[in-house]
Amino acid sequence: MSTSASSIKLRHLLGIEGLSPETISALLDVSETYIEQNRQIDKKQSLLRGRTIINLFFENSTRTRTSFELAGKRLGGDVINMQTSASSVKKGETLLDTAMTLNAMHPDLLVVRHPDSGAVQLLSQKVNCAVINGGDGSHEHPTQALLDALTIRRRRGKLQGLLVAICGDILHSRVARSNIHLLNTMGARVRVIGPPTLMPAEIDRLGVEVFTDMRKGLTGVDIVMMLRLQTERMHGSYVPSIPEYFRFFGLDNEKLSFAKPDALIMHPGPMNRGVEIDSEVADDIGRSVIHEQVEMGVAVRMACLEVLMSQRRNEPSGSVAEGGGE
Amino acid sequence: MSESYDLILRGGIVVTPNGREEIDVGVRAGRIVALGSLAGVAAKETLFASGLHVLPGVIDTQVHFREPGLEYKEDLESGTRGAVLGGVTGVFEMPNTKPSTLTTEDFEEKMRRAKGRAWCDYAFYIGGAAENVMELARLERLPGCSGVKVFMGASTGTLLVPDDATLDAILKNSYRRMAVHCEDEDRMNARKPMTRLPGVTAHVHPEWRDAQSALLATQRLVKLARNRGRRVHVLHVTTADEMVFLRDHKDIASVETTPQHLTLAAPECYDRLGTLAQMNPPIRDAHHRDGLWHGVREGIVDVIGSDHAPHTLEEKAKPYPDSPSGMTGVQTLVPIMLDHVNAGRLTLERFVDLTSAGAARLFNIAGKGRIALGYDADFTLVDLKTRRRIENKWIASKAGWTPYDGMTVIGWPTATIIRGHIVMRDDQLVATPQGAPIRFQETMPKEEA
Repeated sequence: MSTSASSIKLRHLLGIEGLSPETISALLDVSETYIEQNRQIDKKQSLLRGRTIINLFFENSTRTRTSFELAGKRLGGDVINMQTSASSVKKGETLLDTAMTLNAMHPDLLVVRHPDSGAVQLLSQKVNCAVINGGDGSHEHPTQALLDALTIRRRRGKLQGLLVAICGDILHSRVARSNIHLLNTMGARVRVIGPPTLMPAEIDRLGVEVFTDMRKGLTGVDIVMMLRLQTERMHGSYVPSIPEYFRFFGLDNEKLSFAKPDALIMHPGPMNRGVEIDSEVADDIGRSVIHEQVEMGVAVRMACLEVLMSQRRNEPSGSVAEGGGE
Repeated sequence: MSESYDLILRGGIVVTPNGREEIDVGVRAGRIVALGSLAGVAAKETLFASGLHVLPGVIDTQVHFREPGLEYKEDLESGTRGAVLGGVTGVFEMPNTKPSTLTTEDFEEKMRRAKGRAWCDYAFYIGGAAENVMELARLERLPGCSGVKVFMGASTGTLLVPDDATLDAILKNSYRRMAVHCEDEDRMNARKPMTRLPGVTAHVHPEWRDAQSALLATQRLVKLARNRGRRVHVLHVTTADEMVFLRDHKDIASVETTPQHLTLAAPECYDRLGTLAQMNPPIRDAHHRDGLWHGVREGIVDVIGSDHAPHTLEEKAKPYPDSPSGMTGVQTLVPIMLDHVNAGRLTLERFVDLTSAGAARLFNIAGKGRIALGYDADFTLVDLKTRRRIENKWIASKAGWTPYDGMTVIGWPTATIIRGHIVMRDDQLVATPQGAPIRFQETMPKEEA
């Protein structure tokens, strides 16, 4: 690959919004270099030897945390996981107190997930190390969008000009927001499909086409991205019942027949089978790339770690960090 | 005897508030002083108008004349010359010049430049922006000011107001009807990468700046205006959807559409004209054009403005999307719309409503907008029967082109009369520039004691 990690100027990775097409392409190029390596028996490198990475998760996560942990370890870094249940947050410490405490331990990078939108950006302004947003509220989940983009790019050879439908619980989805920003930036066309109750106000200001009918919205699309119905974020009733939601918005073969015959099926996981996606579709080995997404996730996170760490090579560890995505 | 006139228009069919009347019009000291039979009455000058229709002077409420700063595209002299050659007697000029028209000094500079060089009467908009928001109540009352113009999209630098907070502050700190370019900047920014795809042409322009971009901004504007109890003027409405929405907000929102959007349609116009058809908001497909005509028929549209926005052919020849948006229009507004009158798409009375009375009503223009005693003697004389070909060589604009080059129309302006001065007759300029500032009820100069 022609792109070297140090040529990408990123201090933190807080979101996709504001990243240039060149930066996104370069991140994907670096990610590509790790895919083959991850398939070898010996997966370990020493690129991040001596570097400390803390996965600070204020929200439950299995796959994202595991993916970041593997990424850090395969690059030779020291990875520590902190879950809310094990931290002082339960004892009443504030987000910034926790940040300052960890900062005093001189980590090199924090991966932060938090249930509140904007929390990761706030935290990034208070610490000296690099910060990766592992998902904040319903705001952004940048590494998910990058791994989705990598999956699509490897299957289709490009992102430009593709028609992508993001379906389901748009309202609560940080995955949807990050994907909208990324796909728009790379010249893909984005549709969002979901019930009006799960559609954020003014979502069309993000440049997407809005549909409330799956069959209409899926017509002619190249990529179908399903979202998880995030019942844990719903305070109040957004859908009448699960069977009704599945009937109108669950992806089954009948609705999928409106998309292009070779349309890819994606899902960020974890899937609710029989809620937003039918098992037959999820397990369609010809079109479902759901497991490939997981594989790409590790490669993308390795690339993000490498890029952010390469920026810090010649920096005294006490320098004050600035906010901002790029 | 005292019953002498400076000018009498004899034998024309005059469109007055009563309808069409075959009467003579007597003019003295720039005003209309007699309507009726003036047989045997003397006048310094007589214009025989038999076979012609005498309309209240056409007022184009949206032109960009580029001065100061971009005089290679247009200036106040060439722009107003095109206006009178096209039968237009008054123009409202837009603030996106260099510098933008944002301060008293910027405004007075334009007034100074127009004096003695403008062929028709004129008013200038003041730009509404974050930097002058606290001054707007005073600025919009400067004599010669047609009000505040805000760009929610399609502009750059200090003139762009993409956010609701600044827009609301502008609404709060001004009083007169505010003219707004409604396109949602956020949505357009998000969609802009599609214009950089390989092989892209101007055909993608209405897809990038799509109907939803226009509707979103219009809805945001109307919502804020209603909260503030303010009247707003939605410039160049281009979508069927906005017409449906604005129909339910006519108590506070007035509506402009343009001859281009009523005449051209995608994809044909982009096939034929390429980037020459590129303007903001874009020319859309026939469905939206039909929606605009519906708005004209049903009375939702208040005025026709040309959005005359000249760029040189050299600039327009740049590959899309580097080509600038905008086309000429002030000189072709009357012939194009008269052709639509002849095709039965609107009546001559509706044309007068859209091009003269409507502007006077919306903007409280003093002494213009109808043929009635005491009003300014501004007339657009038209021959509804003549068949003419619009050609680039007829265009006075420095840009030197029109999207209608080669088009044959029925109906043509044959004379332009401004406050009693005949300035154009049979496509010839027959006077010197005598334009004066348009007066508004909100900007009437106070008599010094």
